[in-house]
Amino acid sequence: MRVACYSDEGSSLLRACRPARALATLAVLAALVAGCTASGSGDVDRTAATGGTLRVANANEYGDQDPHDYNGDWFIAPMVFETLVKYGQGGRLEPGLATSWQVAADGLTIDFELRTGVKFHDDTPFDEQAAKWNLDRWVGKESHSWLAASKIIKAVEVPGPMKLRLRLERAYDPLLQELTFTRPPGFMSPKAVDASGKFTKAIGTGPWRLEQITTTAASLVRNDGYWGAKPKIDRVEFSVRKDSQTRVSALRAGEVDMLGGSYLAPISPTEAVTLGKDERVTVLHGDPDITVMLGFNLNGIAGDKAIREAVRYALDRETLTKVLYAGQAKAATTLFAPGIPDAGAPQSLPFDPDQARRILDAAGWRQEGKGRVKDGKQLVLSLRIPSTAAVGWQDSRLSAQAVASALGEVGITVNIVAVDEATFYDDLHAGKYDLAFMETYGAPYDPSGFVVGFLTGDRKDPGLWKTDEVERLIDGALYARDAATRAKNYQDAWAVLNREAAFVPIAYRPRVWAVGPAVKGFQVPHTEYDFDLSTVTLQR
Amino acid sequence: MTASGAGRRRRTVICALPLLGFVMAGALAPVIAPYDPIANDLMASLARPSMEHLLGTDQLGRDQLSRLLYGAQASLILAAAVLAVSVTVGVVIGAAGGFLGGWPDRVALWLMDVTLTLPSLIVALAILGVRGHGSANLVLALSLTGWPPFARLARGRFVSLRRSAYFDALQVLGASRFRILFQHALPALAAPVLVYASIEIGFIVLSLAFLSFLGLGIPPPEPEWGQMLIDARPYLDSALWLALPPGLAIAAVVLASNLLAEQFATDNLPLVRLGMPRRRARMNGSTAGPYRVEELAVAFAGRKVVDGIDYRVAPGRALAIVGESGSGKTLSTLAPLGLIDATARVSGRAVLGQVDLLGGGPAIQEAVRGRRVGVVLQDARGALNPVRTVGALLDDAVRHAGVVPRGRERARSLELLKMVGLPEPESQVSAYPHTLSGGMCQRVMIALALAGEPEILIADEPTSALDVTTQAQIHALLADLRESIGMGLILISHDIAAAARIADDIAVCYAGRIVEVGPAADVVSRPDHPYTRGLLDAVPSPKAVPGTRFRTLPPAEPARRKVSACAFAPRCAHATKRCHVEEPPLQPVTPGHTSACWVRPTVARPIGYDGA
Amino acid sequence: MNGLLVRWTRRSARLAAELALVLGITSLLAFGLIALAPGDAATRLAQQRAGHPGVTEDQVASARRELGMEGSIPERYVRWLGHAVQGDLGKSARTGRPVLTELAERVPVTLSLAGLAAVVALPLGMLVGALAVMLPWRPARRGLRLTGLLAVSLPTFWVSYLLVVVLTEQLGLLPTSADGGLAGYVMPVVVLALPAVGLLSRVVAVSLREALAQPYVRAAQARGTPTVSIVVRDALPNVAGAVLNTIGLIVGGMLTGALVVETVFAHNGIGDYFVQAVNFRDLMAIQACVLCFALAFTATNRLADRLHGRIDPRVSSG
Ligand code: SF4
Repeated sequence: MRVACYSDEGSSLLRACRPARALATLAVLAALVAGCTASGSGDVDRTAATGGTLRVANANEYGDQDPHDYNGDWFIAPMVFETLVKYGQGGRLEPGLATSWQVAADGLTIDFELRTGVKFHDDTPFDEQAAKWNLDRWVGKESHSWLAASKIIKAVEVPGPMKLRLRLERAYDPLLQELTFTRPPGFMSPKAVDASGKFTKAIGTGPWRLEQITTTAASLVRNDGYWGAKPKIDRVEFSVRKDSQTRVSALRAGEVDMLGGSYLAPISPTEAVTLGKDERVTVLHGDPDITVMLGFNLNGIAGDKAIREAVRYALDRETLTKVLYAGQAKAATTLFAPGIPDAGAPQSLPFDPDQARRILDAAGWRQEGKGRVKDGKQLVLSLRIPSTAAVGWQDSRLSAQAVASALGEVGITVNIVAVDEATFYDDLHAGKYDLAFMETYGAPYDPSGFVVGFLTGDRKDPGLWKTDEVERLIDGALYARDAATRAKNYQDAWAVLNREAAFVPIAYRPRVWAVGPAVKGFQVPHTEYDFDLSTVTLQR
Repeated sequence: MTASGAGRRRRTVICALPLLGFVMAGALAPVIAPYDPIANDLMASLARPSMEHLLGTDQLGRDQLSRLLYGAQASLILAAAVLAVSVTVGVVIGAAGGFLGGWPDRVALWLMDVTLTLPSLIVALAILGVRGHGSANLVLALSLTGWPPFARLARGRFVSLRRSAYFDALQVLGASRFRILFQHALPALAAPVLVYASIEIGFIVLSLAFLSFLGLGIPPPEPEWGQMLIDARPYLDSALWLALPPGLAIAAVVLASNLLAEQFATDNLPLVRLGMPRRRARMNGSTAGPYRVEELAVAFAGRKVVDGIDYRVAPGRALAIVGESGSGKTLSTLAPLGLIDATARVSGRAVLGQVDLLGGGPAIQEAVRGRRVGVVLQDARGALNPVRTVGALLDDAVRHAGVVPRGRERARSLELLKMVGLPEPESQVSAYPHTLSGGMCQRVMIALALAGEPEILIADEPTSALDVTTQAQIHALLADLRESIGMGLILISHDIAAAARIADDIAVCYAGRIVEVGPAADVVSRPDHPYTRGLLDAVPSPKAVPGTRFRTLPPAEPARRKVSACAFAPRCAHATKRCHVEEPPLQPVTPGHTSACWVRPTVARPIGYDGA
Repeated sequence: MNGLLVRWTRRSARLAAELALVLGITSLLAFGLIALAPGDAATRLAQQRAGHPGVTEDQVASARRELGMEGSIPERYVRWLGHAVQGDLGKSARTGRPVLTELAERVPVTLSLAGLAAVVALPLGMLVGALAVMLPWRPARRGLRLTGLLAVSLPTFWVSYLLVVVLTEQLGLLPTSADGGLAGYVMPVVVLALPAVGLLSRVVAVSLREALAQPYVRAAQARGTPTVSIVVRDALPNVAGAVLNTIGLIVGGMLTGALVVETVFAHNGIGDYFVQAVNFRDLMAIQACVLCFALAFTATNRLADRLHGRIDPRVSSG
């Protein structure tokens, strides 16, 4: 029996065999339509001349572009490499290099029908052997173990021409979603490696072929043999500019045409305001899909629920959001933004510093001077932040000072510890903190990507909230056999997190893009990893 | 011959003002800051400057003025800590090396050298990267490369202490080495260390700003100026009030620090002005006539050091100007030639032929120097460029004088060397000055001065620092030359007896004035002015350096000259009431011999001066 | 002739030995420091793969194996040294590319920036310094002196920010980065050259004043030696010596300045590479950078010493 099937035809129409899933998706869509702020930079000019070179700023350096490895920035990769399944608006799965797929009733096999007539940039045909070669390059390998798919796929089989079958260890609902990631599930020409199997050149099937790449610059040209909607512009040139203000200046001065996204070339809220005032530039806000929050380390002093609750009440998230994000983000109440599948209903999280004080008093944390003490122990929370400059929306320095000041009002002393990046990630990993800012991943990873990393697994790394109770619920959702079970498990997990005051949601932030005057027809991409330029034209 | 100390002190104080302001702001921040620098007021985010917030507020609604003041405090505390560590480490290492000598000294020197060649900020970056952030590590990172200057200071002091006779004396008296160390050497270090520390403050403030740029500065939420600049960056085109004050504060403190550093580096340097390169005015012919200097006055920063001096020298004659050091005798001869500190104000006339050297500006003076007036300066060895050979120096002088055709310079140089009696001139032309004896250096100097065949030769203490025999030889040489060439000679000397042997006339100079002048024989045999008598009675030992106090004269007081009084009155045994209120004019003693004294001991009493 | 050759060979050998010693010591120090520092590349690589900090011990261990980070620190250093002397500087943990390839991309960027800045700063600094002493008009001298001191008193990054805001954003005169061609070099070179001009001008001014205060300068003046001749023959050796003594400071300043301008003006040079490497604990890259810095530093200092010896015979005796 076919449990789920999506087909190539009528991709705008959803043929669903799983009503619950469809309903959920519809609900998400409705929320999106209602909450959608802006997309599309003015009118799409259909008579615009094609061709031209689009110049894009990029914040991070490139490594080699082996899709089955993780070196440097990977925003170019999705333009070059494609996946079997693609992530559409609101998490809808769309056909990519597979035209259709079937998940067996027991969830243990998935059969893909591969797209015919597709060629890699080196004219090697994309077929079942090439597909299997790609999967064999990463499935089951240790360095990809972070991705559940790499552990759950037991075997890759070729049942016939242009057919591919994955045998799974156990049923795993987010598997197809994981296969929309470019690294490592992207497909590369089998001839892109040398005799020893080492990567040599980035050759994919995507709409762009990589012309040249160094650590700090890359140029791509249109793949005229692309099977799907061909881009209208001829070339895209990326240049690495690490400094956010410099990127903004470059856009304002017309040196680049485009920047934005959460990671590609992030724009800070203040910069978005500045750019918004510049008539040469159009600022586009995508859906707020990433949640900024404050996480606790359960293994430390924050294991005390009273403290966590007090922190929740002590933060005025409306004002904080307004000040920290220049009014462009929304105050958050849940783990996932409303656009993310299974995000759940909004919670009530009032700002009530008196309540915070009462809770602390009741828990025995007596006010003494500016701080609080219990059994001779000071109420001091160490807030770990990276000392490097702000990255896009998360200006940790600024946020930390705002949080410290607000918590100080109720007698919680916050000790801001700024450490360099390497130490910061090490400390997070090793649980050397009481408080830390965390962010969800946004589309396409969420919710499964985030919850696997932050709500389950090794307890030494505190993640967001790792308890047996929540881990059981998350596993129940991840390995659910139907959407209703999955939804219920997720909602129950959210309820536990809420009950335990497990974290403090602060804001849902949008992905912001800004384009120069020449760019027409650009729309904020669905995900950070899906840089779709097929609608873009240039008018210089 | 430098500008007055008061002017320099004033400038130093002005330079130090921003530093003082910085220290005050830092120390008093908790008292004068209107707000808590870290308390947020999210409702007042990014407020413009107003009465409530004089410098506006930042994104979190914090008062910028308070943050600026507390930022000074943070930098100040850090700078103090860094300096404390650097000074301690530096003084210990430097003192140990300087005091112990031998291998500890070599190790100390090597450490200093190595540390000084390291790029300090890169080292700081590495330390902070490895040891993590926080104030303690900041101090460590900045001190690590900050100590060598202090070590150098300390080492210098201790080396000179160890080598001094004073140290030996103290040891003989039974003082322990360590007591000497603490009681004598360390206190003497305090002043230079303090000076250098104030210079270091600027560097520390700037380094801190740079480290903040890399995210390694003082951890939030404590304010720091560099971090404030970084935070203000997104608002550079919308809220300039955030970006300017911290930037200006850093600039002011660092600039003050640097100014101070330079002030001390150039403290005792005279300002020498070279003329702008130009074609030289040709001034040939019309040589006849004496060289007359009239009403010459020289003032530094408003203080007159030469006050109305007149003298004249005819061709072939010799005038000696004598006096103690500081009497103005050198100034009164070099000023007309433009050879004194450029800050001096010179007035009067100095007529050579028909030309007034003081009326025509630097061009005239340049044209005269080396051609019509030759000068032999004190300290012949110092006056010879150590990296050039005698021949090269002479050839240049001959070429610039333009008295022989091009290409014949060397021949003329040899001739000159022969003229001044240098043995084996052919082999000496390729010698460097440091291989010559003092007397030979002086001969070379005279040869150089003669290269332009001058009408007047000025010799400033030409025999000081020479032994008696050589002194006599040089004096004889000068006398010979005057006769053989027929040029006028002005000899400047503190030794009136020696001067009398060469000169036709003698002018006695005291406190910027000529107090007695006349034919050499008259002045020496019938001195009129009590000061001249004092000079004659003094029997300077041949080894005495110029400026040695005369036995029979009470010591000179720091010249605080009253406007109208005899300058010599405080030291004069004959002084009367009048001497203290009125200045004596030059009055004739005998024809051609004048003296400036109210009491006129020659006239009033028999010769015979009873000293103090 | 033969003697000259022998002397040259001996000198070169001594220089090579010194370089080897300096490089050995700095690389050892850097290796030790980074290896002992908190944070490690294996965790970072595993986290980079996973996209989140929560990685398992297995993942970190596998990354550690791939990066060749097994064994004790001395063992690893010896292994690195063994490869390094054969010209193999390893692979960057961050980008997976050979460090040498990356350096080949980066070093020319920094060199061209610093080189251009030096070409601008040297003559300009000397000119400003000389004028600050020689100009006949006192306010002009004071002005130049203050300008020179101010140039070394401003935070480099702040000057960069102001330049970008005014020249790029508001006036649209200059591009922000290397993509703008030669014009993209104007601002970073100005920012790099500014403190060097300031420092040089003050060093030249003070040493010139010192030189002019020498008795032999006054003696030359008294002989009527023309100004040009005094400056060239009497003052210049002293000034040149002082300038050569500051070369080390200037190179150090250019290095730290490079960290700033390479970030602000998006010139992806070695300063910026170094900062990223430190943030990733990318040991191979850090080592390569440290070698580069030490080499540049020692080489320029030695060159300066050699030149100084040429100009002043009193120095070369050592
Ligand atoms: S005027 Fe008076 S004070 Fe001056 S020298 Fe003559 S006696 Fe002495």
